[in-house]
Amino acid sequence: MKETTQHLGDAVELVTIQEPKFSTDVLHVMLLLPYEPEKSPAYCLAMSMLAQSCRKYPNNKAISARLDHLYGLSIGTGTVAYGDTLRLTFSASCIADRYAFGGEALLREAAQIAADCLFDPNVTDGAFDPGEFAIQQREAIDAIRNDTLDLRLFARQRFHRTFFEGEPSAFDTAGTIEQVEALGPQSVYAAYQELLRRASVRIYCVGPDADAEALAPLRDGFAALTDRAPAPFTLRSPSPCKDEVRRVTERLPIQQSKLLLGFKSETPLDIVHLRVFNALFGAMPTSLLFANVRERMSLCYYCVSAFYAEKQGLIVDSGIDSANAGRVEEAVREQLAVIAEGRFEDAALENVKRALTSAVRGIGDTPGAIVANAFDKFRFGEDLSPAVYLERIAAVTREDVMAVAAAYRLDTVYLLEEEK
Amino acid sequence: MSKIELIRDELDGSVCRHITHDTGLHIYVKEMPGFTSTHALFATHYGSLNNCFRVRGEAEFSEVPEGIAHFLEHKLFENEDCDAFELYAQTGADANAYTTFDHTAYLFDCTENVYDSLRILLNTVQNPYFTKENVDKEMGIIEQEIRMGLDNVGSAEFYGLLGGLYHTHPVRIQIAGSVESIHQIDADLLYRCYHAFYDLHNMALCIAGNVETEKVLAICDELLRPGEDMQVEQRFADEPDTVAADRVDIIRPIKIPVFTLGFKLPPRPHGIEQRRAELCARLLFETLFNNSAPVFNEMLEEGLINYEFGSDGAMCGDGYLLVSVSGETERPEAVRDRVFAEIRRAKAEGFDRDCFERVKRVSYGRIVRGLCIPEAAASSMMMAWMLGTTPGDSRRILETLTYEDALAMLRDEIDLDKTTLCVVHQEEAAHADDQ
Repeated sequence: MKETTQHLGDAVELVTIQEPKFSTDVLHVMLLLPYEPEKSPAYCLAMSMLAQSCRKYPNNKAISARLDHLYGLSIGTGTVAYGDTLRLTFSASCIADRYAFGGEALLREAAQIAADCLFDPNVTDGAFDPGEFAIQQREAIDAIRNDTLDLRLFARQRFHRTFFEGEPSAFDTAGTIEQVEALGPQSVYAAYQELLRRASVRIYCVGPDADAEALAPLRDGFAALTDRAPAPFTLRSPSPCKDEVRRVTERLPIQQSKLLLGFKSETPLDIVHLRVFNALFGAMPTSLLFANVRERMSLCYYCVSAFYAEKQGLIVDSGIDSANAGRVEEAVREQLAVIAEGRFEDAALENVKRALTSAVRGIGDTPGAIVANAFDKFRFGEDLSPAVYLERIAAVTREDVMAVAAAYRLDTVYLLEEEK
Repeated sequence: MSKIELIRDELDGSVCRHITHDTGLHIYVKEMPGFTSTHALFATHYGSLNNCFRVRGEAEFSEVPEGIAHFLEHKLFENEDCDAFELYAQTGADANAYTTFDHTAYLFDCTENVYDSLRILLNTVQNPYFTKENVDKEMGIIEQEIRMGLDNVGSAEFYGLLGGLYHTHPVRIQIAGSVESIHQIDADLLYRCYHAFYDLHNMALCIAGNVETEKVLAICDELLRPGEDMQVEQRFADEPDTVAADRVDIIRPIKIPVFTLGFKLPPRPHGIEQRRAELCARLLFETLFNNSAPVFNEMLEEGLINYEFGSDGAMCGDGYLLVSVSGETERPEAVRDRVFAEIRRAKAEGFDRDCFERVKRVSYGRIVRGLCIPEAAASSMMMAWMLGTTPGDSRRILETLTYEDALAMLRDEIDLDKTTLCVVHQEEAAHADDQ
């Protein structure tokens, strides 16, 4: 595996990781800037516009036909808020050049299409094409309207409103229907221009054909930007813990209730200690939550924990019978106390460290995991390359995970309950 | 003496070894140099469809409760002294299991201690331990899993469609069963199904990644327990050549209706013909309705659909073959009418040959994407075993499928009188469609 990093301009960095064993190449262009919920819907819509057409392929039909011809080359966009930082990603993925019938340079094609979309959109007189815009605007509104399609995600979004009250993270990055309705082809084009000006850019390319030359269209595109003014952003934004636990209950005509418990820490936590703690607590089938709340008490099908590293937050997400909500909350808090007080066996800690070690050793086996690991290094500002990561996991002690558990206090309890 | 067959994939030169073990187990191993990870699957040809069966020596077929294959999957993670997760925790492997219509698989991923994990896999699946207490304990967990599935709009839509297309075929039944049916399950029934279907003659072990065939075989020789060939036979009720319902409505708390429009096709005999028909139906529907198809873009521009619309591909198994499109719309019947109109037009005039060739390239791309992923390689070997075909056959079939094949399927087998429109919507919108 050969990794190279190149600076392409003001806050624009390209990381290529060449790995011959893969049959695909992946390319991610990540735009990072402060998360401002009032601006985010326009940014998201701008990104959607870019992935559906450009001047060269002015509509969905044209660009889809081209992508299909290139053996199903795929492009897409994604948005995620890391605390108070927004990350918008334009992605492309293609099969490796060696599998093309006609010897096409597919990664080069992917980079060219990405550059066409990012730097030469389908624009007339300072506005996106109105017809294409109308389609994307409706798409964005439909996605917001149909928020109960995925009830687990719906519950998570509603939970965020209380858990992160008063902070950007309380808001969904796609915005509200009213916000999206208020946008137009001109305002979204202006948001697009602002994105290119304000965002810090990280480009990751992984695969057998990943080299800087294949990505020349992107390199040239970023080099041609003249008025860059990257906005500073922070990847640490701890969420303050509430004085009293906030409890919210909402109801829908559903079969299974969702109980979400949110905890916060007021002290910074080491990312590797946090990951080991989370594995012991609730992220795996060997975790305490699975072993006790599901297997021993039969209270749920799933009961899992995850953390918000930038916010120093922790969530436990479960699907339950609402009649058992009190028992589940008590059982979850008890398992947190078990760790905080060190009432777990050394073997349990060694087991989760072994499972994490196994996962880290497998990072080099998928392009997606390699990109995620490379971005983690940037995100946490630490060397988390697999070799270092493995050493750090091995060094985690029971006192380290006890300290993580002891740092968390219950902050929010959200119940999405079945209507009686 | 086990028989070993080498199967070379001409696309990338990789080799898969197929071993027919003395116990009757089919073992597939693909060594993948350069990879750290290994993915292993231990599967039985037993899924939710197999609810009516008999074994060698039995005169009568007997029926078992819906959802029992899935229940069995849960219980096989628990042996007499501990559960399988505790054992895998000592090797660092990431273990799981799943049940489908026609098979159940137990699996692990790991980067270390692969042979210790393989021992756990083989021992766990070969050592059932069912008691009244541990069966009762599992009821609550599975009941919550079923309730979660009931809330899942995609799942409701999927089973609603199958219930509309099929009168009697068990593909219409939820894989996990129902809250009522699982309460009919007890330890004795679990043992009966286990002994009928978890017979090594009816099973396969598929491993891909950082693994050595000889070591796998040595462990198999040591741990596999020879048993008699149960020669299990299934029986499905006769399925009429019509649909059970042309419209199915399901109420869920969603703001925009979602729909699936399914087409019932004549089933194919077990084997490679199923794979061929499935691929042909998929190519046909992707050609007609994918993002570059005229009708997709017309409906998109009119606001009738959004980007959620598209072909779902085809599903083919013993006694069933269907193909479908799905999406979100306020006017599902209007979308159905447009889809029907496009099918009528294409039957009469044919369809875009260039688009068909592009869709074939997309399908080829999908196959290539799975080549260098241990999990995909293991799954591909298992699917080949299920159908009695060879890994790599999907690509070879794809190469031979022509525009004329797809057109013939369209003209001869896509029958607009054998369709079901399943719509999931809010209660108040139940009768507001398209009037």
